[in-house]
Amino acid sequence: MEVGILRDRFGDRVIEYGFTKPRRIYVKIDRSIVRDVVGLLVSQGYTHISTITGLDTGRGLEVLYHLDRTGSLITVRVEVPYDDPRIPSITDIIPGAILYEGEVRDLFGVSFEGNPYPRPVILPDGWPEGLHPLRKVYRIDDIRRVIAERGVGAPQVEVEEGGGRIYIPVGPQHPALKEPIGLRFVVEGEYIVKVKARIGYNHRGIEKAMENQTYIQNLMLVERICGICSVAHTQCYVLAVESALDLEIPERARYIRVVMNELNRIHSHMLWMGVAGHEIGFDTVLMYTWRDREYVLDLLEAISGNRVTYSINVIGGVRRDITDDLRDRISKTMDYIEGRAKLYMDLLLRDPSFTRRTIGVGKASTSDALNLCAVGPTARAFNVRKDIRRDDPYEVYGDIPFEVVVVDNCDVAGTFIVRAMEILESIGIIRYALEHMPSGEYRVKAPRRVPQVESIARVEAPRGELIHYLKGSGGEQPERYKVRTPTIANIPFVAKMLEGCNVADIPIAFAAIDPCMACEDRMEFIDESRNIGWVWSLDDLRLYRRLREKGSVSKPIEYIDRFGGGIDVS
Amino acid sequence: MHNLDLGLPVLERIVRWARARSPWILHLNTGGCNGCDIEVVAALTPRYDVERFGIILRGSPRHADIMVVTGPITVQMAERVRLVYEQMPEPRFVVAVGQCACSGGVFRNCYSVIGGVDRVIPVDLYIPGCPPKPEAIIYGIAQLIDRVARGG
Repeated sequence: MEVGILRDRFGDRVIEYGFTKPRRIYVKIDRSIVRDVVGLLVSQGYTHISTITGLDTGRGLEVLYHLDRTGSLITVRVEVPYDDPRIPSITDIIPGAILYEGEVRDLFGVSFEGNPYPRPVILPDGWPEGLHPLRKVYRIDDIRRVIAERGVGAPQVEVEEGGGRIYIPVGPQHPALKEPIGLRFVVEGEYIVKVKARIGYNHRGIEKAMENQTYIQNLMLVERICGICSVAHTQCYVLAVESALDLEIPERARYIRVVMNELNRIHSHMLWMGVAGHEIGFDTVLMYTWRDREYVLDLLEAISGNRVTYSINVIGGVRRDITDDLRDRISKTMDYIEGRAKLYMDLLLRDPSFTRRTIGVGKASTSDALNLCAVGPTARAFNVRKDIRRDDPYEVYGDIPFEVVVVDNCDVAGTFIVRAMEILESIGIIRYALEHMPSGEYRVKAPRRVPQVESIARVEAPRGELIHYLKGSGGEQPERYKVRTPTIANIPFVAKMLEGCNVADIPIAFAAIDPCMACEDRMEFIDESRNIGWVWSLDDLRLYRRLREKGSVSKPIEYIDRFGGGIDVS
Repeated sequence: MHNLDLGLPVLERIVRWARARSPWILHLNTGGCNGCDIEVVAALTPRYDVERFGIILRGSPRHADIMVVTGPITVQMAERVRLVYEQMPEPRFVVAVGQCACSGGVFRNCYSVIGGVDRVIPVDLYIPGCPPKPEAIIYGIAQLIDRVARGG
């Protein structure tokens, strides 16, 4: 086993190692050999980094690298003292680690030497130097007082030099979604040369808040990390807590959870299809898919009582049972949804207004997807066979037959095909689960206190691999809780996908990862050669695209000359 | 609804009539979980179809009459919300959709959250719920349209 190799190779500098649960390995190493160990693990096949967790133990800081090889997760633990919190960066070995390192740097003040990402990554602009909110010395009230006094969060204008290139800041209110993200594009003519993402507009500080609430209160907070994949988050949370408690839940509850997970996936994928249609100016798709999505929401509401935040998962089982009446209703709706999903595939893949905006758009290679650690349907559309339901099965996914949908299109159209096929797979899983669901209890009583242990849970959320890390304190509140959502894993990859795209393809290429951080249409362009700046809405972009196809304009600046809107920014 | 004051000048009456029948909205997420956002969009789609009231979702604040805000205000978004609000033409209205936008909701104890939308910009209408159902959103918007018809 690889851990043994590590001990042979590095001797005493590998401090301890072992197994905690199936597919969970840990190894504690000295700071000096981080890069060597990670390099060795990568050569052993641990090429995917799930996330990096920071910890404040009270005696010092700890950095935990979670590396994955088709389901088995190895946690590399490194201690870092408070007075010298430096550690070498591993971004040149695993490029996908870039944002995770930045996050730990922001929240714990660990300096990753060699990480090229500008600060801050997720904290607001103008955040006070040295205030690392997840360190235990800072209480929430103290942090709030400091930021209220200093006026943190005011927009900062970034000035960049460059000849002939155009810099386009997009967002935080922008075109792909309803959530804020800042993207800065470097454009040459019509083509995107480079993309820099500024995330963190939605940073609320949930992880810190969770340390001050009980496990039952946290269930509610976790559900509200994301309103679209709310089942996935509570699923991952209860898995982490139940694993720490060593709690066995009834078989029936496991099946109900699977049904809820898959219903959630279906509604999320249908939602994405609608949004994707909207991004290419094909609103009919939005109206069709969202109308059909309502039937799935009706089911979720019938099962749980809610349309969006279901509160179905509780520690020790599920809150409500699926009765026989409901079972028949679910099967009937599944028949309908199956027909519709096939119809969408049939219609859209033959419709030139769809295919011409998706096939060949957002191209990237499979090796990029692997290196940048893309997850979920995005990765599977780029021919990467990764699915937590299959690789690291939770609940009863190990017993249920289903296909992991992988295509080698390597473009936006591929992400559509993967999601449409996954709807069909989900329907199959639901049918199987309803048929094989055992009778009996669906909830057991769980202790309120979690012992001082660590556990890591992974779930295949609709957007990809979701990972939660829990460290119990022995009391009713967690010592540390860490969440890594699938979108942040896909941000470095979508930046790669966007390179080489057209300006007008930004919305759809960005939407292809089904980003989930929160936006609106507003783009600001600056032509440096003429010192003219302008703001384009999505409609402008669409009109511009149409005119360009007709050949009446060839550059954004010509559009401005014709329709106006330029402002002198010299 | 739309009980227009007949004592007003004709032009003013036409303006109010037009405004009440085409309330264009701008949707801004200021740090929410997306739950309210998908319910706002669901209200626009066929089952609920608020487009029958003349409501259209616009991308640019300069085209919008009503700003629909979802989510608590995060430290990073606060100043930007104000900037977006200031770009909207008068008369402008703000609707806070969801518990977070009303008061900070479950996130009120987070260090990077300031609180509800009214901590940054004036709010005309609060639609509580986590998230509010599309029916509740439609009810709220209909009340606001009534107010728009009466001149804001």
